[in-house]
Amino acid sequence: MGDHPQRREPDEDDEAQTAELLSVLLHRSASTMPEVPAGVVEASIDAAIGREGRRRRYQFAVVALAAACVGSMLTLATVVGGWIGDGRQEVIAATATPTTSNYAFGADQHGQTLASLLPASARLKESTTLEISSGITPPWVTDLIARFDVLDEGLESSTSNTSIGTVSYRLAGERVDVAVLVQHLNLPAAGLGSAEEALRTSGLAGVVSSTHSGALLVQRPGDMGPQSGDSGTRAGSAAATLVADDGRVVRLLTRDSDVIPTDVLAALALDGAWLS
Amino acid sequence: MRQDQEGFRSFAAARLPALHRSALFLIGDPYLAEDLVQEALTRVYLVWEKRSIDNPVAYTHTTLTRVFLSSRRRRSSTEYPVDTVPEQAYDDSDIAARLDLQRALAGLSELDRAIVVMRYLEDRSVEDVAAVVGRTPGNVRVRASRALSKLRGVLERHPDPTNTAKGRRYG
Repeated sequence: MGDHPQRREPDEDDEAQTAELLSVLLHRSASTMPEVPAGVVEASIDAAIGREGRRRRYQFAVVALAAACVGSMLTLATVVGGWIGDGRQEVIAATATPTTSNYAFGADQHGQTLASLLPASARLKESTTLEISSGITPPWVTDLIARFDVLDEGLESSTSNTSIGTVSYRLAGERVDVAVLVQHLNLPAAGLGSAEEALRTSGLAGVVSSTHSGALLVQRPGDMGPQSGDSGTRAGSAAATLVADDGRVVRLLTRDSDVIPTDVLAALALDGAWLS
Repeated sequence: MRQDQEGFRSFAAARLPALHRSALFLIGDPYLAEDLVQEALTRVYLVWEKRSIDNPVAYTHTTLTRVFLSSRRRRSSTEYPVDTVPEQAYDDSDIAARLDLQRALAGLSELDRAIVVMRYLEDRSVEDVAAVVGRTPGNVRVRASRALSKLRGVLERHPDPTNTAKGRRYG
């Protein structure tokens, strides 16, 4: 009865014995396998180096394309900037820049800029509303920040003036959120290339590209290892980080890279409005 | 701490036999198994050169299994090419046992095969296996139990000559 709670049923004993026998047979059989050529290791390293090179070239092309799209949108927004027809809401020209010293942001200053950027992605064309908020850090943003080691590794030890906010909008009736962090990085030696060097030595995984604004780090789900990708239909989290050579840092993070592809994140990170 | 290429080379060389064993039981064909190991090591190296990996052994085996499962999903055919294993003399009972075991494994689904390899070759816990394959521990237990039932025949045909079903090894 209850005297032997740990006692196993006969079927369980039988299964455990079968498992032991299978384990023994697997190891016994494995000893007869042909040896794998040691060249596999070198081939793996060569393949990884080649793949990384291709990814960098691809990423550079994507960033260049995204930057071109951003430039086009900024030009267009500048031309059409003005008052909306109903006269109740002022539209800020896309070239407007923040005036606060700590790079804080809000709908008044950047709403139009981001609204003009979002249609650059075909996946975002159905977006119907746009909200930008700062000053509140929702739990999912905290989770994303932890997942990408933003605040406890690499750059954080020498960053200051952190502003955290979110960009939210509706896509096909579903709310889509992107986390945004704007920081200042105290570079050991400011100047051309110093941002890229800081990123490369930060330990953050991802693809680093040089842009006209500074170094851009793109982190896809695979960059964070097998644990980072969600096992369901969603692609997992991704991030784009711009470190300007004067030390300003802009990070955009998404929970779902299927909805917000990394090229859009890169385009948003390159938006000049984040950098005054 | 960042680990260098030489460190990866040493690590990979040491783990190569164990990875190849797992790969061969997973995929059946020795050449495809080499490809599987190479792809897994390539992916691990891409991470290795960027950041430290807490448990490189478990991480690499996890990567191997996930590459196997994802690549099998992408293939239109799900055949297990066990008949292409190298022709070797059948007079060795262990070789015969391996070929028989591979044929029996071929009768399992890719997921069940992965569970069997992780549980009974790599000696990983149910919870660990569940995390790798994205199933619940309960589901893994049920699948492992069903797989054991299907493999019972091959175990009876190739009994342990030492008759001591103890002392699992990992690696």
